[in-house]
Amino acid sequence: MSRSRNGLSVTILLALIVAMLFFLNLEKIAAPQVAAPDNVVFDRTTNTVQLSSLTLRQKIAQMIVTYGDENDADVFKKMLIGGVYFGAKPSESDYIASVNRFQDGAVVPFFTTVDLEGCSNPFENFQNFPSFKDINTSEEAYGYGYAEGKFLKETGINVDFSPVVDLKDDIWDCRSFVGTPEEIANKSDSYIYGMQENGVIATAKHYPGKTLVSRDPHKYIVYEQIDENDLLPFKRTIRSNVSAIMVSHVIVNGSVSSGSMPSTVSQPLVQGLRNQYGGLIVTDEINMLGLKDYYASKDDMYVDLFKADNDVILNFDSDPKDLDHMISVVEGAVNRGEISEQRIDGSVTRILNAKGINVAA
Amino acid sequence: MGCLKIVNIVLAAFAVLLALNLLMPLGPLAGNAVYALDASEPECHFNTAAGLREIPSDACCFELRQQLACTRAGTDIRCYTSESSGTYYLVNSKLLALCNLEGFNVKVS
Repeated sequence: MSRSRNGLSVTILLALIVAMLFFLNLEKIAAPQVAAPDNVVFDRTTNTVQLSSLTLRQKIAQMIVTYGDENDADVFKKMLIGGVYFGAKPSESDYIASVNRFQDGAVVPFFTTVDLEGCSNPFENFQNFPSFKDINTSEEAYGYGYAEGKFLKETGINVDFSPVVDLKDDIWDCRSFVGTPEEIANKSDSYIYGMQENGVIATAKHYPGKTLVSRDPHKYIVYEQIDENDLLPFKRTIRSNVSAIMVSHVIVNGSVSSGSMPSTVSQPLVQGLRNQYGGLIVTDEINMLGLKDYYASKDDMYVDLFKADNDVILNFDSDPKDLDHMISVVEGAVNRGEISEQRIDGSVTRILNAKGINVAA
Repeated sequence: MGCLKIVNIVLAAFAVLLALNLLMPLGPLAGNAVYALDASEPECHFNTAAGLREIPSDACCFELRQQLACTRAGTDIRCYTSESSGTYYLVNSKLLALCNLEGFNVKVS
């Protein structure tokens, strides 16, 4: 009788422990609790945001573009995430609905982004575009840039992470323009000009070049030698005001050096680009193993990405908890003095300006 | 009495699993196990009119995340932005496990 009572007591105790652990686990997977960003001072009459009204966490969040899962729209709006990336959808109306889901009620509008790169076309289910490889002249490049920019604008997309201005695409064999470095620079320039005439941000990528060269598909950390020809399309597009440049994860040497680190986290490389370019500097996707495998800890990677002077961090891990953690790690680095808040302010100012918003200190 | 013993063992096992998950999430561990148990190499090919092209695994995961859908095609998985398109990705299960392990969240319908 007493043995059975003891057994029952153990059962009750274990049940209580299981219940407590269950709730602790639930709390761990729950979305971060973020208050509505009522603190942000945004004067709609002058279209001006007062930068000092944003918290440090909100400013860091503005620098993140993540995958746009509509279920996360409300929490992303509260966190003040800077932008969302859309993959393929069945129809144009699906894109418009998704864009509206994010933009409606957002205190600061999102960057709404895609990769429309000729043969890599998320709209393929209802809209075809030519492969960059098949664009023969600068005039054609301008025409397609204009048509694609017009289409993106109508769909509500305001950033295209395109065109690839690398001189060669050995991997897909269709994502970059073909010709001499001079011809590729001209086509890239014309395409970007056509796109940006529609108010859509174009992105020259992947700085400093040689990102799509053939390699062992199972080796992720890549080393390349960069020469002046690789840099030519970037120099040309900088001169004609491309709005954004995406930096690759390739470790480079030669005409530019990333100092044995992936380019995206190399301060000399990114700041060298910053010295000649006032637009947005965007990272390539940060979960790619070419970057992640370089680090023992993701937290160190986050700090280096922000330290390197990138403006926009492209992170496909759209779990709000993980993004919240990333923001905490960077906030900690700013509070420890590893990253200056002034440097964060510079990026957020460029981001808000690119969104067409004025910034007051 | 015997029944209570079984209930207690089950509850204790649950408690251990939940405590472990608090310290170290078991999802990625399970993903690691699935990945490690598959002895094949991750493989990704991009199909175009000119034929199949081998795509580096990490770049492939990034591309798969952007596709409209992924469906089983025999032992492989076919991912596309349009079902009727001639261009699509053809990957093996090991590649899919790698992508999901690395947080790319690729779903097969």
